[in-house]
Amino acid sequence: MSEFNSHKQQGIFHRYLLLLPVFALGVLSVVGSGGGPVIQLNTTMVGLSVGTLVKTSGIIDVTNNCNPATPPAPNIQAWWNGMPSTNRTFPFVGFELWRNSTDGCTTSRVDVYRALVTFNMASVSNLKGLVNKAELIVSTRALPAGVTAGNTSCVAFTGGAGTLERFGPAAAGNLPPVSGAGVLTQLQPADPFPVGNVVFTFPRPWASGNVPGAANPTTTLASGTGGATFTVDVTNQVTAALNGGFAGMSWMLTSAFEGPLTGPVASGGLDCKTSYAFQLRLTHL
Amino acid sequence: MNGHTPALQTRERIGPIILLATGMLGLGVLVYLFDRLPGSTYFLPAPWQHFADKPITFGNISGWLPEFAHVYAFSLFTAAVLGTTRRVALTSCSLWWLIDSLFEIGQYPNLSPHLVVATPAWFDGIPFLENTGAFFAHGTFDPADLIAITLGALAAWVTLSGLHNRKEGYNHVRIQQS
Repeated sequence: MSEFNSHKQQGIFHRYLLLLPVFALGVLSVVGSGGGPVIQLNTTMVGLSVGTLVKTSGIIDVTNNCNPATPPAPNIQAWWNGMPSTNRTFPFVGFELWRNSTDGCTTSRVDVYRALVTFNMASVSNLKGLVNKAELIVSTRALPAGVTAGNTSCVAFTGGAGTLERFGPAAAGNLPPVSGAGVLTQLQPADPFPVGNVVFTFPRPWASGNVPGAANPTTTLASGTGGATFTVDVTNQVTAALNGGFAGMSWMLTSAFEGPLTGPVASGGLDCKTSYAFQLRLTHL
Repeated sequence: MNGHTPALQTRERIGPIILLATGMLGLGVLVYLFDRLPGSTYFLPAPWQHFADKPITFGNISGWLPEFAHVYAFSLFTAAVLGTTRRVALTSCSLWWLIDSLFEIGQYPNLSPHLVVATPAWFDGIPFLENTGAFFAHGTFDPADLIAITLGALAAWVTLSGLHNRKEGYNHVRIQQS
């Protein structure tokens, strides 16, 4: 009797197993019956404006002779002005440490840089309801001299980048200025950096693959030029921005070290200002 | 005992069903071969549809015959696998009526763009699945197709019921004879 039941159960199992190809064939034949050639999705890169924010803080030595400063303190504006205009369109993130080493002087300074980007969503408002995938691509454009082997604060592949943060649509009006040509904003000591929501923390040391703990799925690969590229799936945010009719979407890179200094920095300082490129790629009908 | 092994009974039962289903499905494919524009169908290479410039072969029924044929054929295929009871007939016909109707409704202009966008990106490059977006984007919603799907499901149910009744009558005669 139990053998009969076992055979019966096997028969039922085989029938349902056979049903799978019938079901698959039926559904796929419907899908394949129409539509014509495979639909081609288009790719659009969203226009962007960028800005570099910088804020300075430090320690003043009042006991030693610090004049003249050796080496001279970094002149941020002169550095910015002397840069080729193309380079200004790739904002900087990271930090620069400076130490006045005249006659045992311990005066030190840290200039903290953040990279800000705003994408012009108004220019792609016609893609509302048509976006299949949206990816934010963040890649190193130029690594600083401070990236050296064994340096834990200015690491290989990513330089001085600490985190990627995103801003809600309401923040757009309160952010420092950005422009297509790139703009430098030197914040006063009392002015805070804008505060966003962390999307991911740059892995230190850098490793290719999925970025752990990211708020949006993020993968990273070596760029082939010594840097790294991070691809963040921002489909939901972009879809919401388009549906909500928002004019812009902003992200910011924070620095791996933002101070304050707790003691004099090592003689020679450290330049860890890293230039980054941003792209917002939409795949759509 | 009626002298037939269970395997033979099964073959006797599902043979006509598979034959009818295959024939009807073949008829549907012929419509795509002869009466549809080259390139309009994913599963047929465009050069195979070289009769498209000839007068329409299937006349007025060419618009809805494939929908009718599909639901009819797959209701029968499903019944051939699960058995020819009345409950199976009703289930398989209802299932394929629902599936085909949902695909047709998915081509409705207000709905299709959302389905195209919602189509998973990993479908790309997978044969047939890669056409999902195009099916909804380029397909045309037609209420007549929904009627054809319903008629196809009804026809399949009538066919399966007829075969079931024939088998019941056959068994009844054999029991009386023994």
